[in-house]
Amino acid sequence: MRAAVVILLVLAGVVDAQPVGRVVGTVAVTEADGKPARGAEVIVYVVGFKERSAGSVTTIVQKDRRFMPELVAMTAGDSVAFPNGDKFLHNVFSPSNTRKFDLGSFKKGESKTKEFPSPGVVDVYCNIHPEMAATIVVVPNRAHARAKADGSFVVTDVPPGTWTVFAYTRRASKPVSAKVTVTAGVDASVSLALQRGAEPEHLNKYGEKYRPGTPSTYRW
Amino acid sequence: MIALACVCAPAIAHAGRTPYGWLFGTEVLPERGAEVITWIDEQNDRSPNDIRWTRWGWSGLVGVTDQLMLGLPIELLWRDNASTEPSFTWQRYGLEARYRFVSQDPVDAPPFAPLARVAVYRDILARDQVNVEADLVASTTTESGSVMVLADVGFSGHFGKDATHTEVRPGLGVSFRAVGDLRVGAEVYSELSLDSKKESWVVVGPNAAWTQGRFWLSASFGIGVYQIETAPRVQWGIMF
Repeated sequence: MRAAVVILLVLAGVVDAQPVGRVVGTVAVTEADGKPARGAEVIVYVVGFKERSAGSVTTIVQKDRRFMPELVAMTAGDSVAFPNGDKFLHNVFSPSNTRKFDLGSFKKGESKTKEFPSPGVVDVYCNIHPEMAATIVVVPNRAHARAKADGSFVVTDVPPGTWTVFAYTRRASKPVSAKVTVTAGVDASVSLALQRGAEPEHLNKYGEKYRPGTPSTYRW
Repeated sequence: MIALACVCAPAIAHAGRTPYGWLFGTEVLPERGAEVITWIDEQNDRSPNDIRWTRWGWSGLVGVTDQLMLGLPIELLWRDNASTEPSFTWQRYGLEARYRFVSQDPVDAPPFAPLARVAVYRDILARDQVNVEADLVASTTTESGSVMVLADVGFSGHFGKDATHTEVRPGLGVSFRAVGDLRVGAEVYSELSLDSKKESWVVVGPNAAWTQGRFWLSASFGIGVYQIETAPRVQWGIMF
């Protein structure tokens, strides 16, 4: 069963250029049994204000039957390129209401790009390989960052004010959050902890269960 | 404050489906998508001589790009009339292309979607003839997808050494989402001869369509308003 991820976004007016601060801290990730999680990808994002997209393009590669990275945060209006780095076909799609799409099947060396105009959570899968899954978190501003392997993070260019900072990793049932007050030129510090579980099952692009034993690797 | 939630969502697959019976749709398969469609239609007591047709066809479709789809249709025909014995035969086979002029992406797709279709058939019965069909289809859909209006202006021409026959096939339909993926509506369809080799006919009637996963089905029951009694048609497809 898919984990439900709920993000509360308090939308404010577009923030003009002004002195900014940073949100720094650490995120600890543990498995369901309490042991530290290895190699967990973690994103951190601050919500409560709105900024325009810079038109950035993030890349999620399909390689070795995996999406890499498996988790990205981006600003509403940014795009994601999905190059196929495997020697066989992939069919990337999303059934999420935030941004439904179906890229069709494409081969090694080909890439398709999609824009994500609305904030929300987008689950991305491959219709051929059920083990492939990624999550795109689209936020209404540019205050998002990826935590390092040791769990530390720095979110830069955060306008002064009291905001909510979220941290999320795939397979967590929901993001964790904390209130922070950001002052210009000063670091606001926060520590967060996440626990992740098993990868939830998902359906193929037809809304059906994947057929067992048929992760067909159509070569081209 | 906006709450954004990840919820279970319906399938996203596109297809060569149509919510109408006699009218082509404006959907196409995504790149390298594949689909098999089947159709059965009847023409009952068509003028002259009370011609009765039942046609059974199927086609393999493949998405060449996200906007171009190719098909290989084959049709069998049972026919009867007041003056000859009934016959059942392989009628024709051919090659079909459908090109949708605008993106099918849920974000990028405009409400107005035009599509062009061209098909060339080898006529088994009249072996010196080639049958060419062309359709210009345009649909407009409300933002929620609840209502779709579609116009299909078709042309069919038989060209050969000794004979030619041409006709236009205009049609218009409306389709409403009833419950879930069940749609109902109505359509008018006509085959209007441009010469004296065949009689024209017109039908109007209700239609219905249903999609479940990779399967879709549509049907209409055409009631004759000009030179034909009835013309029902049902078609279905399954995507791979």
